[in-house]
Amino acid sequence: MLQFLYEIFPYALAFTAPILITAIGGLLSERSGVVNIGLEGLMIIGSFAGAITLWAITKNAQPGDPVTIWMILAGLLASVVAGGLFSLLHAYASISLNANQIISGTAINMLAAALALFLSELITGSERLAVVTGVARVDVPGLSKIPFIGELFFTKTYFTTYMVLAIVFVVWFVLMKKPFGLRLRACGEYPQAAESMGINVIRMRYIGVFLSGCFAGLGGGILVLTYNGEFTGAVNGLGFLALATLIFGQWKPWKVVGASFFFGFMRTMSTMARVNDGLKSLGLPQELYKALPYFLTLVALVIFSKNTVGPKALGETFDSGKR
Amino acid sequence: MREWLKNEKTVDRIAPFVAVLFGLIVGVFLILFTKNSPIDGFKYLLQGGIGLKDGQIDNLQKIGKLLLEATPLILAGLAVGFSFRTGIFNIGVSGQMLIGGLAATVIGTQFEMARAIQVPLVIIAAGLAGALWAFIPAILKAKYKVNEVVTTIMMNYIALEVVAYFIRNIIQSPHFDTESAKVLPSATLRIEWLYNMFDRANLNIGIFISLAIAAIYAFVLNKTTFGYELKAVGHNKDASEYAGIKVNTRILQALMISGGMAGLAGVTFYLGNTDHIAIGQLPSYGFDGIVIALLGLNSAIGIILASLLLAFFNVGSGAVKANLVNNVPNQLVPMMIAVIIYFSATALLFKNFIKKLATGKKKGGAK
Repeated sequence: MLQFLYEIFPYALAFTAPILITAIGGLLSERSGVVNIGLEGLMIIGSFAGAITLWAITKNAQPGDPVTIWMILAGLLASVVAGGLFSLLHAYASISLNANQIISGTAINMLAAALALFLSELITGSERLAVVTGVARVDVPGLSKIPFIGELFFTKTYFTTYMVLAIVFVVWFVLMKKPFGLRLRACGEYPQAAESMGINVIRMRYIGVFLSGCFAGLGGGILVLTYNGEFTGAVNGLGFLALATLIFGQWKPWKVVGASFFFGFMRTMSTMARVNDGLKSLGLPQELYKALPYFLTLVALVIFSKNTVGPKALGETFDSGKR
Repeated sequence: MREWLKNEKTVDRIAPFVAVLFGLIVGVFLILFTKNSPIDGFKYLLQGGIGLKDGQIDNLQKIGKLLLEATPLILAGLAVGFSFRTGIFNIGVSGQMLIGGLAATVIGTQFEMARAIQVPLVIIAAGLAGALWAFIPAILKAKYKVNEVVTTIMMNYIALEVVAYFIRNIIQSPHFDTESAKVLPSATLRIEWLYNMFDRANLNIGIFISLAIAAIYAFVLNKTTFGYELKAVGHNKDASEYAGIKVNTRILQALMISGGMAGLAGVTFYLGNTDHIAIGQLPSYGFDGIVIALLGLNSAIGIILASLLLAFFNVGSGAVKANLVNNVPNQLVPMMIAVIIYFSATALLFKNFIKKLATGKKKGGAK
């Protein structure tokens, strides 16, 4: 059993990171009152930006030239910027133009997938873009020697996972403990009241959506630069899984962390169901592990339905005159 | 007042054309961007889309392919449009299509019957399976007030896994791990005279199904009490409830009917256009259906026209890529379609703007 956990944990952590950061992005958008089902597309844009940046940097490198941490950070930065900028399309449509947020999000998903593949083919001649060397998997010096904990959390890890956790901590602190966070959340609960207290609702919602784009972009970047290793123009529903995570985590940062780890763990089980002896002996189909997060989200929605847990003004266009 | 009503309808009808126009403009810029001539681009689009070459259409194959592509688009568009009319957003058409296609594929690969029995059977099975798949989000919406957007998305991904399970364990192809076996000749929707008439395009019974469903759609929504009640629910739930309409039952029925149409889209695609179903592929028709319903203003005729337009773009894009001097990326047409949906979403602004101009500044009070 212990051996099984040791085997599976590093992968589960690696799977969790992109889901978690994207879900936290979605949390910021939705707590400000804007539904963002464009997370999938924003991740795609991020994964493209990360992959193409690394491709451009290493294009003229000689074999044997090292891929430095700075190059990888440049790729991740490009993911963040690209995701953030792209999300402004959603912000403009759904906040400034009062468009239906679901339709706008769908448009973002379609546009992102098409644009990323279009640019990839235009620039490199191919719709697929392999990242030759991404983030390295390392044992954290010192910490990995701690019995049990070290083996689970600090062995064969990507530094990006800790980066994500640090960001989540900052988001939690600002959102839950700082006036800015209170204002942002107020815009998602009762924007008219927020406005009456002098908060610029439009601006706050723009910030929420923009940050969701940045974080989803980062999620895509991490995905392509860590375990995925190739841009293919799709993120296989991870953006929608992040949306499920957000709901399952009841729009609360730490619960989202728990939910994303659980869902990341399920994804790992699904990929290992056919190779790991322990899981093979259970005899459960690999599809079950993959479908379980979505199914549990449905169950959670039913349970929550008695008392609303999500932001009250979620999905409503802001009408300052409405009472 | 009459003048104003006329005006609003006109505005409504102009909006989709504006969106398509924006899509085309983006298309022109993209072609220019790849250092090609947009005029050539549109010439090849016509050549690939309807077979128009040197001012005439010499064979019907391209038209056949266009109608083949339009078949699931029409049904997906009707599915989305039907839910829109009742004020719900069925974003799970792709998943319902998959499950409908799966049910039909299971029957079409595992059993061999007389053709006259099996073909109606797969069609009915697909419609029922799609409706049943939509039943879960429908009952959650009607009974627990759970937002259908999220639940239908979740159902899409569960559907993908259900299909994967069936392919890996029950209907797997002997040659490919990730595909189902080929549908038996006794179950296929392809028919010989259509095949010959359209010069080897896989055009099939699906096109008749889609047109028949479109006719029923228009009839139900415009001529029956049931349809009137659905639209009333879509306009204002509280008022409908007050008027004695069983709102929750109507929502449940509407979403299931929408899912049924999506299931039919599945059978026309997996048993007509192709002859198998594959792992891990959420059909894009479900999302195209949203574009189509928006462009077609949720009316049957509008949806058929919008489907033909999208099918024309999809089918014609191959010839554009093949014939232009410099390489044009594959995603030219998907880009145009995405731009069209973005501008359809924001067309509301354009309409509201004109409305505001016409009525002066006035907005509704409390809900």
